[in-house]
Amino acid sequence: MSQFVVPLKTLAHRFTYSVLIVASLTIIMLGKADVLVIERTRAAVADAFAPALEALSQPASVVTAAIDRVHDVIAQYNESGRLREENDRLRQWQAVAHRLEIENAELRGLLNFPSDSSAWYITGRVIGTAGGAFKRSVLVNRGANDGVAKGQAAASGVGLIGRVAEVGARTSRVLLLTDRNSLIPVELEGSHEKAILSGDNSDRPQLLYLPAKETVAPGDRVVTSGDGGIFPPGILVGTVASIDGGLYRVQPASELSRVELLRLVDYGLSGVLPPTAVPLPKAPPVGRRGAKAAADPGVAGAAQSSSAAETTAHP
Amino acid sequence: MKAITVDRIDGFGVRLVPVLLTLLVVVVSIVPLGIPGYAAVTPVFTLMAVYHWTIYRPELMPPVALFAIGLLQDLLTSGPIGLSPLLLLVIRALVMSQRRFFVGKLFPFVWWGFAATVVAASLMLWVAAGALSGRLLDPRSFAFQAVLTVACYPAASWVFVRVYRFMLARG
Repeated sequence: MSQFVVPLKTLAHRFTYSVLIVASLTIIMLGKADVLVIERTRAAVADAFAPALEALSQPASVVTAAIDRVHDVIAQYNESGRLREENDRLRQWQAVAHRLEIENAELRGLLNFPSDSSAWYITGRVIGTAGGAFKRSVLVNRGANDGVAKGQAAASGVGLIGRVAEVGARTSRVLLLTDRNSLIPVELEGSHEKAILSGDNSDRPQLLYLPAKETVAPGDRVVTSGDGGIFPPGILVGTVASIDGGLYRVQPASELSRVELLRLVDYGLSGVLPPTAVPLPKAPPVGRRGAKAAADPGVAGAAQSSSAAETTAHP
Repeated sequence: MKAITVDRIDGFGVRLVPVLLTLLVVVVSIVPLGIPGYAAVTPVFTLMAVYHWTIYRPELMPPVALFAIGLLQDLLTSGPIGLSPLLLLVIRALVMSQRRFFVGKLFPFVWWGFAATVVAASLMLWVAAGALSGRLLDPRSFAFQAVLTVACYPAASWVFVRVYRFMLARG
């Protein structure tokens, strides 16, 4: 009996093996051809694993928070004096900013300048990383159900971190600005020199197509230019970190590997991407999950400063 | 009458342990830990699992399961799809062919075998990723990932053995 079964088993085994290898190669080819099915499958799988990932990322963030707390206690001891001084100085700046904001609003009113009130934000949490040497991306626990659409800008509290590349029903994947497929239209704050920020999988993306290179110096701030209409203009991206051999490297303002909470910004423009890639923004259903902030005055950070200014006494 | 093999004693649940454990490992490896630079050099836990089970209990890690595990890994990590299933299948074939040298040997020898396997796998990944994207990728992150994968193997192997024994005792 076994003299028949064993060779048959081996044969079946070899056959399965070959079929699986061929299947792998076919999938690689399909993936290379960027078939929509694969993108949908990715989104569906991410959606299916979202609850597990959310549950797992909670303890992970608790551990991170505990480590941070120890660091904080040490740092606080050293920093409290310096911070008190800085706080006094910032209070003065806050007053100035508040006055300027009012003045700005009045002047805009005089000029009949349309405000950027079409932008709205979706707040999400990072529940997964790319985990590999190929990609720089993160998985976020907000998807099409929450109003997320392809092409939206993703920013942390500090600055831009990337853009939405894939959207599932409950999750979405943000391509970080360090990924080698990331191209973001930026400009240098102050001189308004336009450039493209191109990732190359290293920690510091580089500036391409910079027209007047001699004016650029390390420490210059880089912000989104709003060209192409994908991103709102003026979101902080980072600072010019080094210039060597004609390569202008930018240090991202946000610490990309440590971002836990982020905002997805819908600017309400489809830009240069084909209309199918960027569906028109739909207003988020009010009151769901309480995670969405309603429209606020335009550029990132402005909302925060105005609400902060309301609670403090105006000089 | 033949002696009852270990396989027959094992309950159905215990037989699923290697595959379920590896699936869990795929999900765990993308959990954000907030360690700077960790995401790019996360050890390839699936490689550890495949090597470990192919050496000790190859029948519990069938090719079909490897295919599914690899596919899940590619879908979740947004890497080039299809590459992980192919890699895992090739690695399994490679390890199976050399298996008799490692079975029953001391752990350092098995570990050394794993190091050689990881070097082969990383080279394959790097070449394949370069070919798929049309340009060479920075080999450093692949090298770091390989070093970290080899370094983590003893701990992972210990966990695999413990969980399996625990399930065996209960099942």
